[in-house]
Amino acid sequence: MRKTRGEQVFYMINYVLLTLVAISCILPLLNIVALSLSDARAVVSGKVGLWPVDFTWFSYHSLLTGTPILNAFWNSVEITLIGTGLSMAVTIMAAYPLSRRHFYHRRFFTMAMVFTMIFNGGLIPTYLVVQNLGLVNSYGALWLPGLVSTYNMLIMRSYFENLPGEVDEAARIDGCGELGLLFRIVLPLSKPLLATIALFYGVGYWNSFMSVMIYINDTSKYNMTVLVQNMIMSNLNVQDFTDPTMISNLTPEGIRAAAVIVMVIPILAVYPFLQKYFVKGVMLGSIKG
Amino acid sequence: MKGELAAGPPRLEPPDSEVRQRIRQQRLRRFKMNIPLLLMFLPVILFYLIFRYAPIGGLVIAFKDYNFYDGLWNSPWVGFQHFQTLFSDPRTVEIIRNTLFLSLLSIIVGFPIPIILAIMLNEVRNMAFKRTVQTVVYMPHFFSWVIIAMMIMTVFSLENGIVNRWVEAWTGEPYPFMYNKGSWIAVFVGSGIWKDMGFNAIIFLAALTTIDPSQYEAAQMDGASKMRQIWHVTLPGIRSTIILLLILSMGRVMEVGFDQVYMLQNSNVNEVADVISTYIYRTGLQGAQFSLTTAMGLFESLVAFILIYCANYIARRFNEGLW
Amino acid sequence: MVISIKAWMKSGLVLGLIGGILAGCSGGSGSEQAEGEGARGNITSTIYDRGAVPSGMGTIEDNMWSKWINENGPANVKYTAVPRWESQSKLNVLFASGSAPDVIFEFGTPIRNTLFNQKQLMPLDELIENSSVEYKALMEKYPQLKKAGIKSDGKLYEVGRMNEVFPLTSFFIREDWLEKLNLEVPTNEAEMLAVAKAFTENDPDGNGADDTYGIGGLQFGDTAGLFRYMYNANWVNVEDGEIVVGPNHMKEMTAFKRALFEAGVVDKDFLTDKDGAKSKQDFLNGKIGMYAAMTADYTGFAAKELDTLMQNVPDAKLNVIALPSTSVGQYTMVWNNPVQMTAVVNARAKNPEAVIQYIDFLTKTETGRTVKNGFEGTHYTLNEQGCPRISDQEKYKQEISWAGDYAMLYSRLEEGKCGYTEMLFSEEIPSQKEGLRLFKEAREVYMNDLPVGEGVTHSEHMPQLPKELQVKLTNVTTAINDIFTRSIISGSKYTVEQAAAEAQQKWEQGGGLEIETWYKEWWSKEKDNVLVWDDFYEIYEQQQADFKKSE
Repeated sequence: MRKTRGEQVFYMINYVLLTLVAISCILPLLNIVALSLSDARAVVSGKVGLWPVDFTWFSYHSLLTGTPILNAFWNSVEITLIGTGLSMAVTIMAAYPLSRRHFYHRRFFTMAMVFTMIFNGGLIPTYLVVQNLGLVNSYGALWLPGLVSTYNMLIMRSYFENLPGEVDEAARIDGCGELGLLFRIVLPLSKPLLATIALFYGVGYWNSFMSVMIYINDTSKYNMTVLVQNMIMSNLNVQDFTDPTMISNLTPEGIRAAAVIVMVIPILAVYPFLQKYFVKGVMLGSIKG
Repeated sequence: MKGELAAGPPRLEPPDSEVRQRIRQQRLRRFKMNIPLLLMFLPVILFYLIFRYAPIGGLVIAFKDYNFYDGLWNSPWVGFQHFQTLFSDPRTVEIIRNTLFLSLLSIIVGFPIPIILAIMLNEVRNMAFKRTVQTVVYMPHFFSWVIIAMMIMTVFSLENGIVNRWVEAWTGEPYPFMYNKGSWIAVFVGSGIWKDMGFNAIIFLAALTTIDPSQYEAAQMDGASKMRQIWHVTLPGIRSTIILLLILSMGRVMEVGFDQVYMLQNSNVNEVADVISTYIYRTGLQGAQFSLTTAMGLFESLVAFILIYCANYIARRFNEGLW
Repeated sequence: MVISIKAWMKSGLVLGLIGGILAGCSGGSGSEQAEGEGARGNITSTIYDRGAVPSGMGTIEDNMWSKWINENGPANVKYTAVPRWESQSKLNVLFASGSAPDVIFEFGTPIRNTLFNQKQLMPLDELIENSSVEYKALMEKYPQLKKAGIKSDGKLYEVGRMNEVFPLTSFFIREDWLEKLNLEVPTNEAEMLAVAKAFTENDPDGNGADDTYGIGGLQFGDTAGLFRYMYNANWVNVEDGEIVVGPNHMKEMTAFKRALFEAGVVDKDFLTDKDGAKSKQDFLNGKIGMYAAMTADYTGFAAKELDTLMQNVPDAKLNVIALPSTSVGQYTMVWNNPVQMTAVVNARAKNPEAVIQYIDFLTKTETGRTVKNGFEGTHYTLNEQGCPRISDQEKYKQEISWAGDYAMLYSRLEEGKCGYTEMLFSEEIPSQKEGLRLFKEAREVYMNDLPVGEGVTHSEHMPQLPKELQVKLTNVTTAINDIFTRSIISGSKYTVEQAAAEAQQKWEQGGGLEIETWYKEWWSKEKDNVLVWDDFYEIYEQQQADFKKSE
């Protein structure tokens, strides 16, 4: 169909606004990339804007050889992949039953879970529980306490609930049990949602800081977030003059920038892959089919 | 007959035994359908009991004078003393007020933005453009406030900030964005929205894919303009998601992120910028005053609970409650 | 369907992983069991992690140095890493769960105090008396070490090291600008303002652009830095032997800051310059005439900042100048804390004898010297004065630079003259030569008997207020600080007089009297036990005398 005048205007405004927004969001990234690729002196003198000054790979080189970041990187990957897998599985196991109208005590369970979203015991009591389960210093301490995010679970449940009723009918006619319904119909129809929640969990695990710092004692098991945070803090708190001779070990800003980039790139790379699940009308097709 | 539900005046009914049998059959069916669900749900219950409910017992710290030596069980009880300490301090009230104010403002102003963004992205035809913008726009979420705050301060700086260069060109004098309370709040709320809007839009993007395209076609054939289509098709289509997220954001009202405030605040705006998390940090409470911090946390949770309950109550009127 | 395979895989993963995790994981729960006395003991200790161990060198808790200590020391030590900037939280959970190590190294006085208040520390008096050799001797040589380690119940809980006394901050002026504009070094407030104005307005760098500032380094993050020292504007001061608590001299300091601000001699955005980074950048680009810098580590300062400045602005000439006199007196710059407590012992340590032997080992000069410099021949050689000089920079960076925290009990000066800061500079390098010159100048200018502009004593020796008072103090100081800052930048809308009046009000309403009473009581009890600036000066003179003797 031909576009109406109104539609043309709309699309144009849309494109312009989105472009402006996109530019505003990419500027910080450009600045950090520039910092990571610039000579240390230029960085310290504040001369670096959106483009590297005195281009050099030095920061990345120092980062990769001078700090345990590669190891931390793989730790982050492990924590994220397994954590996301576990969380997705158990969240589905929670959201699906809660979305079925005939599930016993549905309301009660939901309220009980929302309650835990708001009230929590705090650092030390949780630590004691984890400790008593023997999980300290293992990644189990990261995966198990954070297994289900009630927030994510509620989103998933809402999505399942809003699947059209015809789906239920079709299942009943086919003689499908609850499990069959889940695996053969509900999950395939929920791809955009599953991709989204997986992204939320993934990002959460990738960025986990406090839990790693508290539960993990072996620095060889640290993830990138803790490592990079250490580097950044050592610059903010320059006034560690209680030990004068350590100041020379401050992480130069260029290396900090490189560390930030190394941490952010995997996340940025993952999202485009997930975007292919965000396709319109996926549900419609499946119902008709 | 005894045991029958009183559903109104007696009507012509099939014989009792048949009704009872049908009811029994229904109950049996329901039970059979629930078995796999319950089995599936069992680990979930375990998880919540062990990792969420067990630690809640630790909240008693708020009513005790907790110290390591006596441990959780033997530390002496002090009742509501900590709450009294907290609320008798005039600053506490100010801080709670700031927290609520900044938070609610961020929610009210910031809630629609990701929705609008998602809808705008949804309308883009060019896939390459759409994907690029989507990815770029969700980047700022991943940069820590340490970095972003520094950039904001550079942009809004009195001396050389880009924004002030324009302001000077227009009015002849730079404006102290970061030092006046009103403008600081605007920068604070605005930067928070900007940082997370791309990421928050994702959930709406996912929801938008569930809208039946034929509804758009129907609307177009009825002669609806783009804006009317959005109003009558798009928005209702993601209604549940919107309401759900709105209720959930009520639960986060007391959580004004420490990093954002700490990095952006300065002495001149502390009257409006000091929030619970920075207060706790500044007084070193995090360090040793577990009981006081737990008491404060308990209070925060209470407020959040009340708000979420009310929000849910309202939502139920629209058939969209959480429970 | 692909989806169901994925789903089954996920379920399988769940079961398998949960089983594996719960079955196979152990973890570091609990501290090591001690073996019998007499045999080589097993102890545990913390070590700071700064995220700086190069790849291939192991981890901060298991590397060539931890191994070296285990092989050459008196006990088997297992290290637990504690993140340098999150040590509070980490130590909290370790102690709360009963799994904290035997020896805790911690710079932060409040953190050590917390542990003491929570009764988690072991008193060391008898242990040192009976089982220690090195540390006992050190304490006899420096009774201040003992004084500083004693807590409110009269027992010794903390051990530490002796540092060299030198100025912590340096106030620089651009000598070349003074010459260009024909000015003299400012000696009082009025002159300082005049010179600053000249620096700002008269284009001293001759580039035709109006881009210079008179003064920088106004604030270091949240601390008032230079001006606090200049006016001795501290909350707890000593005047005529009596403790005075309150917004001392802050009115005068604020008035001066305001004059500077209104004259446009400082960056108007100093409030948002949280860590002083912008100011430092301007200085390194040669845009600031008078700059106060943290110079606790002069060699580091020389290697980084000074070097950058010399590259960017080759004509720049720096001089260290004294703090100008003010309407409330003249003061001198703050000094380094010579008596630094760095370690405490867990009350639950199972093998205290081994712990003391470990402490002794770390106190030994040879230990510290090796950890700091490496092995002779491999890492360093001796120069003509007999002092270690790094022979292989790469190796140093790879193997030594990150291990400094193992030497937290190392009293550098015990090594003799080579431990002194001025011997650490490598004069062949121009920036280091300049650094040495400035270091000596700073010493000359600031090490005198003018009162130090930081109140009673170094913050690490100040007592800890009881909880409620601490909260009150923090609240009221924050509020008053904000009030004064507002009057700096608010022009006619809010004058310094108004601010001072409001500040006084806030102080009285916020519990100021209570706080002052507490401090007065503390002072009357502890006056003779506390180390104050005068004591530091004595130590300084002693150290300089020793240095001259060893030359």
